Amino acid sequence: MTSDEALMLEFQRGSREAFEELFARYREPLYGFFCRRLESRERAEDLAQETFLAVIRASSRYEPRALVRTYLYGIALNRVASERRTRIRNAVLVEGGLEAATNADSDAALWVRRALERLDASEREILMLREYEQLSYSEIAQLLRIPVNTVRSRLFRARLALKVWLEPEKRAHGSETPIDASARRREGEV
Amino acid sequence: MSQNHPFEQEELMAYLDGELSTDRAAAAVAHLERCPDCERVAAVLREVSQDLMTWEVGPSSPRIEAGISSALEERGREGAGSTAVGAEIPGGSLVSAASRRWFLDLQFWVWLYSLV
Repeated sequence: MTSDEALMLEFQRGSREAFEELFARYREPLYGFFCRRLESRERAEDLAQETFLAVIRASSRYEPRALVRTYLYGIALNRVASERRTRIRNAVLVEGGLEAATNADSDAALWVRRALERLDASEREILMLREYEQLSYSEIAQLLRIPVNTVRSRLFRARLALKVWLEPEKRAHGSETPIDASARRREGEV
Repeated sequence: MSQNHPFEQEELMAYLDGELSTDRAAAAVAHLERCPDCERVAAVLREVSQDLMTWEVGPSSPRIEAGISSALEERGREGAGSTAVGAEIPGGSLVSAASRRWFLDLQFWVWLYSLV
């Protein structure tokens, strides 16, 4: 499979097909990125589209030393930040910072969103970039301009904190964890 | 980290995330097999990741494509090569105007030496 970076270079040379391949690869991941950070699916689609348009307009500035996906998520993070600034100005930002797709189709995961909202914003972003965007520690460090060790320590803190927040949310929604289940089985065996 | 636990918990997490070197990852696997305390930490970390994956996002609609085709057509009309600095340089180096100048300088010196 042709790498993202090779496709981007082909696109710089004028290949429309190369861009279409990149679009096919990143359309849903970018939509998911925005959907989990914004209040509506429509706005998520708008910003995903704007990210691709920014790539088309600024493709000549892409340098092969940066991974395409880091480049894309860098643009996407800027769009989210800009969107939040606009919303703050318009005083319609949902308190807590994670507006997160209230009309998305995954209400079964409401408890996950609620637990995420309780995390510190910077730790939450690192955790989401790792879990949902599947970025490496070094890619996250590059995007957020922080050392890799800071990414690792914040990610660890975020996961443990989330575990604490998830438990009551899960109990409230009647969800049992694999660990709970195995503990219950062990208790039954005794 | 201690004699019983040669791995920091953060490093175990890095192993689960596929961030350790092959040697270190193999050592982590071996340690997890014989250390219930660390295996418990690993189980918690795995469970948090599994929980997060329950938040699924459905597919986007075709409206995400709106405007992309016209932007590509516009770019095509403007000429892709005009925006890619150095596009005519053999080897596909498109990095910067500086690299283009360097190549032109090189061509000049090659030409000059050919005259000697």
